Amino acid sequence: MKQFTHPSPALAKRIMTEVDFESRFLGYRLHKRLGPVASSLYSVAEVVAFLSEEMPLIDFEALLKWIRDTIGDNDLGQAIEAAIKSDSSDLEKTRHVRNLMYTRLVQCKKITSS
Amino acid sequence: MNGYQGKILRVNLTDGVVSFIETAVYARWVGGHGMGSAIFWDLVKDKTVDGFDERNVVTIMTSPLTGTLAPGGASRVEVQGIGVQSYPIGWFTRSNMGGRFGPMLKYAGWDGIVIEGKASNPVWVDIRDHDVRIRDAQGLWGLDTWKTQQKIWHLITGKSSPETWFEVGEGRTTQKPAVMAIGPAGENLARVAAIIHDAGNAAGQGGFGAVWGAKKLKAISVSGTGSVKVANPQALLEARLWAKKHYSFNINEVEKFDDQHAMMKDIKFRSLSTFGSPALPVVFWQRRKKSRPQACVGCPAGCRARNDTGWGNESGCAETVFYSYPDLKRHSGLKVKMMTSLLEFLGQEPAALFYSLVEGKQTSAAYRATDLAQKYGINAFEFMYGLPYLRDLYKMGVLGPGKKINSALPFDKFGELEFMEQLIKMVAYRQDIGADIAEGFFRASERWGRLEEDLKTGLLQFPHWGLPVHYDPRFQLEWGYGTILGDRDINEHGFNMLYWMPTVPIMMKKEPLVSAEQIATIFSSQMVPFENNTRMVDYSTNNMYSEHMVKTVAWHRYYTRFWKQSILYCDFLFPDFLNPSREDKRGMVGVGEPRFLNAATGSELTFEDGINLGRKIWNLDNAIWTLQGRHRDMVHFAPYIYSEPYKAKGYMPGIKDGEWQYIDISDRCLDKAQFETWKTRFYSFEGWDPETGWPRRKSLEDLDMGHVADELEHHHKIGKG
Repeated sequence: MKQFTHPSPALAKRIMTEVDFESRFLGYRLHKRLGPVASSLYSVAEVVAFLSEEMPLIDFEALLKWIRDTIGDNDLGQAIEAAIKSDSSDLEKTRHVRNLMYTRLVQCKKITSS
Repeated sequence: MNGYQGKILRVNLTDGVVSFIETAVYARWVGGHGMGSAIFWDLVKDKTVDGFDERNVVTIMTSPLTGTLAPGGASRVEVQGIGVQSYPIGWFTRSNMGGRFGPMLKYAGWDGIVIEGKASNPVWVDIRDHDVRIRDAQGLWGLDTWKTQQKIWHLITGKSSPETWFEVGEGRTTQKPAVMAIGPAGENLARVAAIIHDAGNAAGQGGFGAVWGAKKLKAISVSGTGSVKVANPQALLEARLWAKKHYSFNINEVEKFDDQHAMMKDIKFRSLSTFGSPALPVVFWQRRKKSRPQACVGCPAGCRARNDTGWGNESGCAETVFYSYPDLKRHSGLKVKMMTSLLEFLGQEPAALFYSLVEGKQTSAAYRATDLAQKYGINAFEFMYGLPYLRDLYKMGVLGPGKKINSALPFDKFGELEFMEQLIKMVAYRQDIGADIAEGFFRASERWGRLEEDLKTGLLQFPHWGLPVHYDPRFQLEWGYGTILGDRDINEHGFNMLYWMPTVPIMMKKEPLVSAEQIATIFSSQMVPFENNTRMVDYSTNNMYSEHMVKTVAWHRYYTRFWKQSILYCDFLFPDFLNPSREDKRGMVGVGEPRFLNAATGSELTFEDGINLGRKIWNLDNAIWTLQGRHRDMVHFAPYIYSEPYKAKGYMPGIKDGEWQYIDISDRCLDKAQFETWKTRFYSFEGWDPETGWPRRKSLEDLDMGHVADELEHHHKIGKG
């Protein structure tokens, strides 16, 4: 699994913090019969939970931009970029991206809680 | 009249008179919605009255199949009347519920119930076969829907446990009474109030809970000891066995399915709306291991669940999802927290197995929030989109303690049960911002001065008649168009397979079950009388405003008005267009519907006869909306539908570059001018005046509804030309 460089305490804190309304990320959850349901996501943790849904729909390029520009995590962005350029299916990509983001989250949680 | 009991119960709450209507008087409408609309037309002289007005009439109708063995057709009742949820006018509308109320009503000897007037004090209606009493409900008023039902069960059976025999008139039964009840939300006239039956059956849309509240009607209880006489019991039983043999999913083959099901299984996504799919509960909680499917009377599917905890029983679909995601978001990683600690203790790095645990774990909050909605009698679907709206407003900094929209709602507890407990009670008792939300999120937004802006940006996803989006009008065209031409979110899933069937496999990089051209052929071949026009299933951007799409929407309106809402086939199983279990992938649509009905009634009604009756009912409904004040100028979506492209990726069949293919339907919005042109085409197709959308005399007379034309003309609402 991907090993990230050690984030600075400032970056770790940013990754663990909710963004404001204007900076939220939008995704859609696909529910059988209910259809696609739009969802505002306000943190990396929320995106991880969202990507753990049965059928999450996201714009991968928009997520990459959000991670880089809004969260400011180039290291995670680089890993996500490689994942979304792979030949795998959209569903596999969401799982891969989720795992990357979760790994980063665990890493940052250790830093912010120590 | 085989399949019927011959009488429709008529209860006038104003003067306390109980009488009946001969069902035969309305036999030409066959049942359900058709009969309900016709009775409403006759009994409500002033169709412009408000839903809360005592002159409003509520009908609760069954069909000839109710209480029989017809699969997916035995349980439902259709509730109609002037609603209070839609905006700017509370349209004459409908809702519908399963469970066992409909069959019990038939077993008591009634084909439907007509509720008129308004009681001076709270009452409930006690039906025991033909003995019908209006009873004092002072002791029930204020109770939630579950306690109300429990109390009535006990009052009628004289027992706390209903599994033993008890007397009902000259008959006896072990079945506890079937009760429809309202909760505090309905009593307090919340426009988002529902009528609840048993644990999780709800007539949610339209705000009928509040309509009952205005009539001071707390509950209707029915105990029946009779049965339904059908014309040909052998034919009905054989029809059910025929459906099972030729169209149903074989549970023994679940593991060796190598097509669509296998893909679905990979992502636990197997339950689609046909006979040929596994009938897993359509619930959106993380299901408990000790949980089993639960079905309405006579249904082979079992789309709800019963759980070992007792939480969430009999609920399904929207009410199980509105708080599942906030719960999951808040508690995401519970499993992982434990694993992380263990790995740290062992000094090891996470391995692949670790990530399979990332899914997180819901708590009981999602289940219990659902139960709260059922108990307080609240339409959970409003909260599907209303709840995220509230959170967005909170994050914007306009909602919260001391903010412009001042509220004590504890957003730091969002995802916990405590948050929903407070919100549900606020709405039910009209406290805090609950006083606004009780009016529906659309009206609440208007009260908060946000409506114009939030409909422009799409932050408030309520695109039609002040009601929440479901399948978005920008891609699932027949859904959006059908809703804006009608009275409510249509909630009719027959064409959704056109979206699901290609979208899921394509996202998984697998081949769809059938090609785009094949699915267009399969669908269009059954759409009589417009059959074999494949362009009716062309969802490409070029075809969004075409004559073909006019026919698609018209056919869908006719099919559902009759077969779904009058014969009361369940939306979960009908229409069975695409059946994954069959080699030719063709479902039983067009064949199954009349086969069951004719076995029960002894008639020889064809599928096309039903479509034509659906057209007649659709026209009658449009005449009622016209009298209520409908004009084509009102028939438009919220601004964001015309300006903001739809962002969720998905695929539907369409012709692109001259070839059938599954096309990406994202990144498009409706063109307002072209939609107006489409409306003109639709009105012309229906024989309605394109200037106003009002029915023309000739069109109504052709449908044998000259009396409807007379009333429209009397009110100067008849279409020209």
